[in-house]
Amino acid sequence: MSEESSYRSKCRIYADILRAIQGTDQAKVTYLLHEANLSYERLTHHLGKMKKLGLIESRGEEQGLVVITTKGKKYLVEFRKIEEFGETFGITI
Amino acid sequence: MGSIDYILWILIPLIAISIAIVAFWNYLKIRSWKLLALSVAFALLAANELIPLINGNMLNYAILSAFSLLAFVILAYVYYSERKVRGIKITKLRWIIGSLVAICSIATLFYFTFVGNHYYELFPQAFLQDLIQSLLASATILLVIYTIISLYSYYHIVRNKNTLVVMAGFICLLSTYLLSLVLIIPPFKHLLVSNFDYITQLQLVLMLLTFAGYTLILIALLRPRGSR
Repeated sequence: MSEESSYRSKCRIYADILRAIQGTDQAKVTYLLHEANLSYERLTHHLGKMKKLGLIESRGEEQGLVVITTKGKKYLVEFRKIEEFGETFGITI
Repeated sequence: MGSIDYILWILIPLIAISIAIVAFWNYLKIRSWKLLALSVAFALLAANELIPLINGNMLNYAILSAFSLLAFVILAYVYYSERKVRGIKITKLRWIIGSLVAICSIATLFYFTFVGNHYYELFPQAFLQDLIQSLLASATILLVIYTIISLYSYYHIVRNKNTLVVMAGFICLLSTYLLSLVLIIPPFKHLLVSNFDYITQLQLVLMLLTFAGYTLILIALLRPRGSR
């Protein structure tokens, strides 16, 4: 039974992707692959969902650039608050 | 019973349910099962704190005690599934703790079933009560261990003041459960039953500890963030 790795929740993956995008003005998929530690299939799947939710938007379709939206920034702020709430109880969200 | 008892009887469930509401509010935002579990656990604990306010029906007591047990099992599972506790070889520790809790549960059940009370045939509800209390004791042991682990790990890793306040709150709550176990251990039980003053004093101490426990947890949740 492996206890070393733990699965990330969908919310945490979204937050990791958003943090990676926020670190730069606009991020390429290859950069996000590395920063969010996801496979190409999983990343494109999550990016699609995040675009539908309005957390990110595309810029320059050919280059595959994405930018964070205002809603995405608000999500990160809220996620951080809830993350700290979890930490208060000694749990990871 | 003084007026302070009545105030605490009302305040304790209110504070416990407030914690459940704060956790549920956060769950609604992010839909994390751990937040839902916390919310449910504190709602169940709040329900258990309603015992002094209901009629002295044994079945009602048993049901509410079972709520408390379920709450502790939920909390223990949340901490069990937590993999952030680094610095400790948690895998082996889990097996050791699991085995110890299982042995303690079987031992307490065996004791209360075959040694402690011989009147179960006459009073079947007494068996139900003792069964729940012995399971509660096992759950308490489990939560004591996990609280110590969490306290140890976070003291060494995070050093988050809010976390320490929550842990202090949990320790207060656990103290009440450990102290209330005194009421079911035969020598102490007989001593207390024969002296009403001791029971009254112990009840007040338990209520103050419970009040302190829930209040500390609520304060930690309402404290401004970024106190690290």
